[in-house]
Amino acid sequence: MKVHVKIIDNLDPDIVILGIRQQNKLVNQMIALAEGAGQETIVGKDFNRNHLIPLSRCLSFYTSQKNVYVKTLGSTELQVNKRLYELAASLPKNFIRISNTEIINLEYVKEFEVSSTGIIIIHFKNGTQTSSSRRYLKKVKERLS
Amino acid sequence: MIKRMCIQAVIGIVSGVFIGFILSVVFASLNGATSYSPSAPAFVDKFNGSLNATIVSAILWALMGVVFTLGSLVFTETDWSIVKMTVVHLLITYFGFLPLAILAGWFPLNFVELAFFTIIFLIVYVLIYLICLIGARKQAESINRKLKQSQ
Repeated sequence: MKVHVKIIDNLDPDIVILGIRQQNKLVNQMIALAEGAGQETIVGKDFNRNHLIPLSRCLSFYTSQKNVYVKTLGSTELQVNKRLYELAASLPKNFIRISNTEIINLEYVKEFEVSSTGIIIIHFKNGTQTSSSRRYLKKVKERLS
Repeated sequence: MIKRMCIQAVIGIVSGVFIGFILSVVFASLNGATSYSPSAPAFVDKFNGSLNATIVSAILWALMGVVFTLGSLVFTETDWSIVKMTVVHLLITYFGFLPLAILAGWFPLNFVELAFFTIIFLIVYVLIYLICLIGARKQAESINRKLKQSQ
């Protein structure tokens, strides 16, 4: 595909305009690539379409019925083609395991709370919450120090 | 998980027999016995010799060990709340350990002894719950402080 680059002076610094005749698979790939350029990303899938999601927009990764999903800041959920233990080993340090089934991004955590029945509730800055268990608290604490 | 349980079971058998043996020697000495017996005289008398009594005791000690080492997985392998962990562990050890202890001749089967044992058991588990909860709250506070510092 031939690319013409045209400078538009008053454009926002982080915006690229793509002029196309019609949207197709190839164009979608280019969009995904451009959206992920310059930052670490992960591939998330919904209805057979792949999206490149910047890790900085990932809130958590969780397992449900043997599949792994990523939850983004906008609360969209996409399937990830990796196992949770692979993610735990490869993701940056701000991602941490908090239960058998979930990894979270510590940057978006507001606070940890322990209920009187002993459930560890994690409140995110966007108002959502999840739960962890006692045995993972120590690892979280060590990661933060 | 099944591999983990097998390893724990083996650890339980070995440590159960070891602890059972030490306890039986200690209690035999405390009772002023001159020769070794694996449990109270009333237990040993049911067998036609102390060898059989010792073999049956060792099997019961091994099973007690397995109950405790498998029970501990509740605390190390699950993501349950502290209440659920404590209650499930209590049920496993109470209904797993108590019948074995009665079979091994450690308890006379009467209501007062059983009630006393049960009350101590419950107190210990309330303490376990409180210690776990306070520990978790302290860790959560420390994590929250560090989160605030880093943000």
